Amino acid sequence: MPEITGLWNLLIMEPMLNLLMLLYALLFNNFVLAIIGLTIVVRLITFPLTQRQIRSMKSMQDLQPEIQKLQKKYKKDREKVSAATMELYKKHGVNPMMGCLPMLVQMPIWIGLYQSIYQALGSTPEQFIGLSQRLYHAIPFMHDMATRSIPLNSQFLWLHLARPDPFYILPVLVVATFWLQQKLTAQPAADPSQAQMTQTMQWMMPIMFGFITLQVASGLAVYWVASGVLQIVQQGFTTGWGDIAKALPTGIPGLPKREETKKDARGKKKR
Amino acid sequence: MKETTTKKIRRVALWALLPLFLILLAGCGGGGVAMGWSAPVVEGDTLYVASKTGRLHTLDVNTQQQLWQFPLEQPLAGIYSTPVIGGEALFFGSYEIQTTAFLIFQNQDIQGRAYALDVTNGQRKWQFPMGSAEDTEPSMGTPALGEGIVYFTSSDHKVYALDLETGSKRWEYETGREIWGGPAWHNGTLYVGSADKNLYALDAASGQRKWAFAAGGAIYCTPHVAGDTIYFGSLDNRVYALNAENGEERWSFLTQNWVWAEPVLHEGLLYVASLDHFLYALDASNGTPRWQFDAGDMITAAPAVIEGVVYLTAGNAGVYALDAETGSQLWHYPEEGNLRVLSSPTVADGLVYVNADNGKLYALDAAAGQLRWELAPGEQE
Repeated sequence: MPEITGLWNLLIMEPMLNLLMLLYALLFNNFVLAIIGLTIVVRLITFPLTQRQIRSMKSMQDLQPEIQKLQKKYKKDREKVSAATMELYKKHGVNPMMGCLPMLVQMPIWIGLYQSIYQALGSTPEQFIGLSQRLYHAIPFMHDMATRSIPLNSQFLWLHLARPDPFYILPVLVVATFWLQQKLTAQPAADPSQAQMTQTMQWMMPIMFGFITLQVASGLAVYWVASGVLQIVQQGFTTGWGDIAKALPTGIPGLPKREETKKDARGKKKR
Repeated sequence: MKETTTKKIRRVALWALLPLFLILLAGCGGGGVAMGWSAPVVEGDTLYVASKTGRLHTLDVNTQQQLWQFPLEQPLAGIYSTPVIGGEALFFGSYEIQTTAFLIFQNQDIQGRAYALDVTNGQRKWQFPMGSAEDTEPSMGTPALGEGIVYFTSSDHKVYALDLETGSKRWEYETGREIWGGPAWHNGTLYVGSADKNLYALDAASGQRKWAFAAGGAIYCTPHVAGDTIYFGSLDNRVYALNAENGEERWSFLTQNWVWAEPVLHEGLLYVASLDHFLYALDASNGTPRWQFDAGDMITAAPAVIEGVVYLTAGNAGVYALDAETGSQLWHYPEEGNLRVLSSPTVADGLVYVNADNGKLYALDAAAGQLRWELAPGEQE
C-alpha cells in the first residue's frame, strides 16, 4: 500500500501540485486564477476523452425511443431486450462502455487535482510542512518559483481559501453549477421509476456537494465551480443546451433559446 | 415484483454510497487535523508536555503521576508552542478553533492566545488575545523571556511584548506576513523571523526596529543567537549566519530543502536540521560542513546536543542519538517500525523525552536508546 501511495504521488499528485505552484507564480500570485488555470489545463489534456464520453452519452440518449420500443416488444424476456439493445448499439456504432470508460480514466486525474489543491493550501501547520516533500527542489527554475511564491496568498476577496466560505456564497454556486450539469447530462428514462431516480439524482448530487462545500477549504469549492462551468460549456457546445434552455424560458444572455438548440437546428435543416 | 425490489435496493444503495464517496473525496487531501509539535520541558522533578488532544499536562518525572492539566474544561485544538518557565509562571501560545453553528451551518475560525499559568497548580494568571479580542490568530512559536517582559509571535503578522506579571501589552511590531517561529532575546535585542522573508532585530524594550535582513525565502524558524552571531534557516533551503549587531551576512549554507528548525550551536559546531532528511554539522565560524547524517525522513525540529551526543527526531523515522563530533549513529528508536515525531527531544537526568504524533510520551534511556516507559498524557490514571 505505501508503494501504491508513493507511485500515485510521484505520477499524479506531485506533477499537478508543481504545475499549480508554477501557475500561481505566473498568474500574479493569485491562487484562484491558479486553480482555474490548472482546471483549464487538465480539461484541455482530457478533452479528447471527455468529448468522446459526451458524444457517446448523447448517441445513447438519442437511441432511447428505440430502446423503449424494444422493451415494449420483448416485455417479459429481459435477455432478448438486452440482446436487441446491444444489436441496436452495434448497428449505430455506439459502444456503451465509452460512456463510463473515459470517466474512469479521468477519475485519477480529478482526484490528483483535488489533492494538489488541498496540499498547496496547507490548512493545518502539519500539512504545510508536508508541502516541502512534494515540491521539485531539484529543478532550479521550479525551486526559485516556489521559494518566491511560498507562503501562498490564500486570501481572495472575502475568502480564506484554506477555510470554508463564511458567507455561504460558494456553496450556493456549487449547488447551482452541479444542478446545471445534471440538467444537461440527464438522460430521458424509459420507465417511471428510472425517471424518478434521475429526478432524485438531479437534486441529490448538487445538494450533497453543497453540504460538503460548507465544511471544506473554499479553494476546493472554487475548483468545483470552475470545473463544473467548463463541463457545462463543453457539453452545451457539443450536444446542445437541452434542458437548460427549457428550464430558463427567458434565457440567459449568450445562451441559445430552446428553439435554437442544436437538435432543433438539425431538424430545421432536414426540412 | 422482483424488479421493483431490485430497483429499490439500487436506489437505497445509491443514497448510501454517494455520501460515502463524497466523504472519501473530502478525506483525499490527507487529513486536516491539527495536533501540534510542542516539545516536552523538564524543570526539577516536573515534566510539562502538551498532549495531541490540546491540553498541557504536568507530570511528576519519578512517578509519572499527573499533577495538573490545562485547560480543565474544553481542550484547545492544538499546542505548537513549547512552554517556557520564568519564575512562578509558565508561558505558551495556543492554536484554537472556534466553531460557531447556526442550524445546520457551521463555521470554524482559527484563533490563538498567549497564556500565563501558575506553575504550581496550572491556574491561569492571565491570557492575551493575539489580534483583536473578536478575531484572534494562533501563536505557534515558543515565547522568549526578557527583562520583565515575555515575547510572543503570532500568525497575525505581529510580535507582542507583554508584561511578565500582568500580561498587559508593552508594545507590538507588525511584519509583512505570519510569524510561526518563536522570537530570540539576546542582550536587549529581540530577533524574529517572518514569512515575509525578513529577519528583524528589534529593541527589546521599545520595539523599535534596529535592522532587517532579507533572506531568499520565508522564515518559519526560531533564530538561534550565540555571542555576536545569529543563525536561522529559511524556505530558500539556506541557513544563514549574520552579525547580530548590524545584520551583515557572515556566511550561508545551502541544503536541498527547507530549513524549518532552529539551528543549534555546540562547541563550535552548528547543527542544522533540514527537511531534505539530513542533519548537517557545520563549522560555526565559516559554514564549512564537517559531517552530515541521513535520518531517512524530514527533520522538522531542533536537535538537543548534550555531553557530546546529538539527539534527533525525524518525521516517521523516530529518534536518533549521534556522536556530536563525527555524526556516527549511537542508537535509533524504534529499531523496527515507524514512530512519527515532529517535535524536539528533551534530555534530562539520563532520559530522552519524546512527544510523538501518536499521542504518547516516550522516555528513552539516553545512553542506549531503550524504552524506559511510555504513556498517553491525561490517560495514565
